[in-house]
Amino acid sequence: MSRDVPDTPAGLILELGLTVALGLAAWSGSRALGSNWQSVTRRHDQQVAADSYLPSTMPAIASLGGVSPEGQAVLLEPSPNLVGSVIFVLHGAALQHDLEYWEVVHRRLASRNGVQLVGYCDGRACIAGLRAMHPSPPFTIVGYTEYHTAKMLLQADADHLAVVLDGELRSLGGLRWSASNPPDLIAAEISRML
Amino acid sequence: MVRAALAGAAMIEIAVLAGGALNNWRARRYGLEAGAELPGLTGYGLDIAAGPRQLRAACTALRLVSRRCGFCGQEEPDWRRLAPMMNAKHCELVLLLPGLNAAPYYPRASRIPEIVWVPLDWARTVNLLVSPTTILTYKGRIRWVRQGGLGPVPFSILTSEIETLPNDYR
Repeated sequence: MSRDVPDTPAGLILELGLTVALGLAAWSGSRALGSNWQSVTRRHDQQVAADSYLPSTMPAIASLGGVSPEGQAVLLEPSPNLVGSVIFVLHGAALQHDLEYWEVVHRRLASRNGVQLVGYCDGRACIAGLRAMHPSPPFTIVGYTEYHTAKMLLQADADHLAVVLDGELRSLGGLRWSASNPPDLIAAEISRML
Repeated sequence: MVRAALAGAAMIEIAVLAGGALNNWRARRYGLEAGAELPGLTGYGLDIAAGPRQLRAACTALRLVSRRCGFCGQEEPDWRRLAPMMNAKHCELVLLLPGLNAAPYYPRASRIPEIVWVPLDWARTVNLLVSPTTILTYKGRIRWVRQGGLGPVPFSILTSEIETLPNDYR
């Protein structure tokens, strides 16, 4: 007789009970495993999405708008005339510098129709600074944005990049903006990309 | 047969434990673990004219949800069951929506706050990568966090966490 075969009815019942219990545990475990696996893959997908300032055929963000530092709705609907947008982060710690930098970029792009610049405050210090300064920059400033847009912008900003989007919000790539890359160069690069 | 079932079940359980450990590791990596401070959130809902919304209550259950998220809908009955206890504990439920296309989550008449627009510095410090995510905070600190849907076990843990909160605060 095989050692796997129980010798008595009691043994058979015990083995059957054990098998059923293990089967239930496996069923429950497999469901939990499926849930865990979905969770991990979705996190991966969303992490990839957070890096979506990289050139892509899909829209990098759902919308450009949000709420201004003063608490007003910022509606930036795509228009037929829109060639593209450049989005970047304004830093509360260097607000004046950042505003002046992008004002120069805007001036250099004045001859280009359909290109809009949108700056996003990097947080509450920037928002408070703008409320105190009352600047009137020639481009739109957003104080509060969608969570996913914020994550993408932060990812790009960590690499010191502004993101160039086409008219349908697809990323055309990032532009490094810093003291070593003067606004003239950035403006020329934007003109080349759009 | 028993040995095969035992081996199969053991392998599945090991995989489940590994998956759970991976989830916990990622939660720790992103700073979403019990005891950590959750930065104060001031953001705007769909009704921008109503002004910014802040997490004011000592106890807050912050849920990242989306209309397109199947797991979010599945846990709605759990949240309805939790509502009386949360009210009794003065615990506020607040929704965070990942984007405008996920809003509104509940019908507009609902009194549950839904935040759509957030400041970047808050988004920098709080990494929420999965819908749904539930963060239970007490006095600004994370008491319990679940990245993923509420199953029976997480729901019972969340329930007991809320039950253990004191009654006499606001």
